[in-house]
Formats: sequence, C-alpha cells, structure tokens
Amino acid sequence: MTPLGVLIAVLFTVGLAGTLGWMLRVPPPAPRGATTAVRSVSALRKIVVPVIDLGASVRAVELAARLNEGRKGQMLIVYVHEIPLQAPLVMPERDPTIERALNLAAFIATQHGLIPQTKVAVARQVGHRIVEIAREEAADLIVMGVTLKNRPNEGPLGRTADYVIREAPCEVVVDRLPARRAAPIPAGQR
Amino acid sequence: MSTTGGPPEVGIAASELRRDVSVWGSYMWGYADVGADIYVALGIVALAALGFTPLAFLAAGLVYAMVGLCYAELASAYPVAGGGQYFALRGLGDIWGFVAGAALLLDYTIDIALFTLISFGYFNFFLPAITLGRVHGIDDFIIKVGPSHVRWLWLLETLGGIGVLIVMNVRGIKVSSAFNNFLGVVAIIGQAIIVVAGFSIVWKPDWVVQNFQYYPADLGHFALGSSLAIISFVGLESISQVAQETRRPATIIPRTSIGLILSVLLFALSFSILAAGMVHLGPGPLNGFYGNTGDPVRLIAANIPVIGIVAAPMTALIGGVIVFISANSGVVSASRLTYSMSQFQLLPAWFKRVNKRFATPSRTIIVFSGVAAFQTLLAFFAPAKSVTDNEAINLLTDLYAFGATSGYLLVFVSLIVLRFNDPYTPRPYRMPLNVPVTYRGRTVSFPVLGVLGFIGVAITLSEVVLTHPLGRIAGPAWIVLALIVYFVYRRLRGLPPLGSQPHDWETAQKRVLQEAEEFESLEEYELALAERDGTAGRP
Repeated sequence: MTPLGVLIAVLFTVGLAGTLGWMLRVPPPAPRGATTAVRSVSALRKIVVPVIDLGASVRAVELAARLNEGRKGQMLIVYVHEIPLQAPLVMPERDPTIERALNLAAFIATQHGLIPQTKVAVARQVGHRIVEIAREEAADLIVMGVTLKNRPNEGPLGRTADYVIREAPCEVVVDRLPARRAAPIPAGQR
Repeated sequence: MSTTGGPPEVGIAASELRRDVSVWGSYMWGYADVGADIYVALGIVALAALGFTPLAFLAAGLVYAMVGLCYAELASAYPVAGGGQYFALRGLGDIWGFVAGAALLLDYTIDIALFTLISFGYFNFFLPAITLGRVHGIDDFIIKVGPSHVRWLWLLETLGGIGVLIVMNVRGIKVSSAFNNFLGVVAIIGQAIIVVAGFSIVWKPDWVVQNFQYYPADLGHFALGSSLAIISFVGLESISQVAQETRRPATIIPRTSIGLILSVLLFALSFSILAAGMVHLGPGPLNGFYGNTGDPVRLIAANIPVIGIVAAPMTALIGGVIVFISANSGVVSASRLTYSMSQFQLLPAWFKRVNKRFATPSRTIIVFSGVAAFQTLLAFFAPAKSVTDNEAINLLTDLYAFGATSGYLLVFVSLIVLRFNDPYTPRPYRMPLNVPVTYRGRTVSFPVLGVLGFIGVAITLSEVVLTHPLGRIAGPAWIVLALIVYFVYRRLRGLPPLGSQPHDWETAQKRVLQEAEEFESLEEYELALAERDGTAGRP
C-alpha cells in the first residue's frame, strides 16, 4: 500500500461519483408555453420606449434596459409632441424639459451598457405616431410608463396607452405607477 | 443544404421508434459499448506499446474526447437514428452518408463478433471449474484446418452468443434496455472495486517507472499501440444511434456524452496505469499479458492480494457480461443505422420495416447479426503463425479500428461543413474553441477543436493503415463491396448513384424537435429560419 496509490484511488472515486452525479441532475423540462415566453423575451432586438408621462417613462426606460440586459439589443427613446388640429404640424421650438427627460432616460440606458437612440417627433395623436414608429423601426417591444389619472372620456391608462395597446404591431408592456411614486425626477431637473 | 419542397418520402418519416430511453438508459447504451472496450483492448495494447501503455491510452483518449464532443454537438442538434451516417448525409450528401454508414456498419458488425468472442474469453475462465479440472482451458479445444488453428469450442460459443443477441433484440428494446441498465450498474461497481482495491493495495509506482525506463516502445510500436488503444474508446456513437428513442435528446445527449467521455477516460487511464504498476510490460513472454489477451482485466484482478481469489472469478464474470452487453449494443446500433440508411434510400426499404408484434427493426437485426456471425467464422479460420497466436482477435480488432476511424473522419468533416451550411439548426451543445468567421454575410462559429479532432483521427487512421496488415486490406474491401451494392441499388431504383436526392431537411428537423418535445430548440429553429427568410417580427 502506497500513499500515492491511495490518493489515486480516492481521486478516481471522487471523479467517477462527481461525473455520474452531475450527469444525472438533468434540469426539468420546460412546457411549450414557457419556452414561448422565454424565447420571445430572449429574441428582443429593438425596444421602443415612448416618453409620455415623464416620471413614469424614466422608470419604463429602466425596465426596458433590464429586459435587454445581456443581449446588446437596440433601444429607441421617443418623445412625441402632440399638435392640436388647429395648429400647423411643425416641430415646436426646443423644450429644455423634454431634452432633460430624454437625456436622463438615455443616461439610465447607458448605465446598462446600452447606447440608446433618441427621437423627437410630432403628431396629431401621440398614440398613432408611436405605433407608426414601432412599425417603421420593426420594434419587438414597446415599454410604456403611465400614471393613473382620471380624465373624462378616457380609460384609466389614458388614450395614448389605450391606442398603443390595441394597435401596436409588437408586444407592449405598460408599467402603471401608483400616484405617490410618480415623481422620480428630482425637482431641480424639471 | 436545405431544399424545400422535396418529396416527403425522402425526409424523416414520423418516428416509429418509441422515445423511452432515459438519461441513465442513454448513458448505459454508450457505456455498454465503450465501457467494455478496456476489457478487450488492455492486453493487446500492452503487448504493442509495452512500457508506454498508459501513454498510448492517453493519446487515444485525447482523440476520443474530441470525437465524443463532436458527437455530443451533432447528436443533440440532430436527434435521429443513424448517428455518423446521418450527419455525413446532411453535411456531405448521399454518397458520403452511405460511406460513413458502411464504415460504421463494419464497426457494429465487428463489435457484435469481437465482443461476443471476447465475452466468452472471460467466461471460459470457468471451464476448468465446470469440468472439474479435466480441461485446462479453451486451448484444449483446437483443431488444425489447413494453415489455421481453429478454437472450435470458442467458435461455437461465439455463434451461440450471437444467436442469443438476435432473439433478445428482436423481442424489443425495452427488454434490452432493462438488461443493459442492470448489468451496466453491476459492471461499473465491479470495475470501480478493482481499480480502487488495485491502487490501494498492490499498485507500485516504481513499477510504472521501471516499465517506462526498461521497456520503452519505439515509434512503430507506439503507433500500433495507440491505434489499438482507440478501440478502447469506440462505441460512444451508440448514444446517437438511440437518439431517436431518447427522451428530451437535446438536453440529455450532451450530458450523457460528456459523462461517458469522462467516466470511460477515467477507467481506461486507471486500468492502464494500474497495469503498469502491477505487471511487467516487456516484449513477448516478458509481458504479463502474453497469452492473456482474451481476459486481460481478469489478470489484473487476480494479482490483487486479499481480494484476488474472489476478484478474479468476479472479474471474469463481470468482464464476460459487460463485453456481452457491448456486443448487444452493436446489434442495436447496427439495426438503428440500417433503419436510418433505408429511410434515406441508401439501402432498400426492406430494412426499414418494423416488426408489428415487437415494434423493432427485426430484419436488420437478423441480417447484420448474421453478417457478424459470418465475420466470426472468417476470423476463426484466419491463418495464424503459431498455435499461441489468436488471429481471430487480431483480425477483428484491425477491422474494428479501421471502421471506427474512417467513420469518425467523415463525422468531423460533416461537423465543420454543417456549421457553414446549416447554421440555423440550434445546437444545444457546441464543441468548445470556436472562432467567429463571416460566411455569406452571416457569422459562423468555426470549430477549431473540430479541425484538431479531424487531424487526430486522420493520424490514427494512417497508423491503422500502416501498422495493421489485415485492416488495411479487409477494411477498404468492405467499403468497396458496400459501394458496389449501393450503386446497383440506386441504379435499380432510378436514383442518382453519385448525386444526392432532394431532402426537405427543414420540415424533417421541425418534426423531429416537435416529437422530441424540444420546444425551446424548435422555436429557436423557427426564429432562425424566419430571420433568414426575412419574415421575423412580421405580424
């Protein structure tokens, strides 16, 4: 009996038991529905995040960035100016509040390793333009942040979110924040 | 490679084989084939590679590991019966698919013959006890026929064993699976006991050094030894042969393949190092395995003090059984392979018919086990230089090494080609070491390890051709004969003898993944095809 022989015998036993133990621990099967969900999330290539309600939209950017983590997908942050029917459909002058909101949203995305695109557009109906942009860009997902507001003749999510949910060509995630958490932008940046 | 709209009959038909092989069952199909190889190879490798025997096993083991990883990738991506033949068919076309199939078929029929023969080599240890000492051993039953010394009792035992395998397999895979699983567990435990007891009680490291120093093998002998050592790793493709009967193949096959690679390497290296520390490994009569090539592991066990008295008969029994299981997996693999080949019109559809009563491909089982019986007869009647030479074992091992290395070579080429031609099929497991290259506007992972594996197998094949006088004649002769049959069959059916038929691989692949319930792979595949066709993301 030699110490080296005993050591080899021990290593052999541990190696064999470890190999067979690892092999037999097969992960449980995923049912078809579950794999569809996993696949649709992991297949995301382009996410559109419309800035509708400033505070809630910033949170939507954070959510979208987390959904995109580890995939190097593209993110498009969009602000749409709604122009009343009475006014000409032209881009209004620069609004520092909107610029700050877009910069803040872009900053959050860059914190997750993304290089987002930002876009400012004009439309008669914000929802229509968001859906058009999603279609033009072949987006896989729209992530929207909204706060609960009581407006006459509108659903609880507002007409923009309602329209996007109904007409979008891709998946839509709507994050509805409670009223008290709807102001994550520091007052000084508004 | 994909040609949509091809005749559906040349795609993969809905599986008639039942998916009832579990993770342990899948491992056991591989282990039953590969795990037994050390019982066959140890003695003949030790007689060739002498003091360098562990190095010969290590060299062959490295090639085997790459072959195993290659099969793990392909069998999990294409979980259908056929193994190497199917991969070559998809990657290289009909004729190369047939050549790979013919090489592997040679291997499987030889597997049946050689391993049944060796299993009775182990069982014959009990001959003196059974005859109450009137018989000394199997060499008491030799008759001289022309230049041949025929061990007639051993021949009859082997033919009888092949008959048992035919009956067992015609009755159904479920019977065979249970048989494999139970005896495989017994064999693993038995082998592990010998290794642990041998190293703990009797192994001497200074013997390893002495064997290495005093009995080094020259280049020719080392090449012969390492090319023979490859047979101790042949059979891993059995896992891919039963892929069409394996549950969740994309998940299970890579695990069982890697588990098998590691465990068989452990056993092969352990036994060879153990032998070098227990037995003299000199040339000819100076080698402890001289005259014991029929039951080398039993010799190791007999040299272990304390447990040796029990271990020797136990090893003879376990060795006989596990080697017999390996012969059984040869029957299974041959039948699955011919089933696949006839499905793709590489062989007549007659082979494809499944027995209505037992749901097994009984025709292929009977025909190719019959071929193995014929090979056994030829091997036993092969002329030998002297009565102590066992020319039957030499001839069969030569052919075994030739068939395996030729088939593996084509499988490696198929792996590389399929990475380029079929990047859409999901690969739940990929061989490590890949370099991204751009091919037709798409990034493809070029398998560096696949190229190294190809080179390793090519070197082994050239060693086989250069150092095995029988293998270099009989092996290619088998392929040529098979090609003649192929050309005649294709001509009679009005099929292109050199070209390929159109195959609807995409529909076939979807159906296979659907049947295997590999939904994740199926969706990944559909998405990749949609992206290729520019329809991804469209409502």
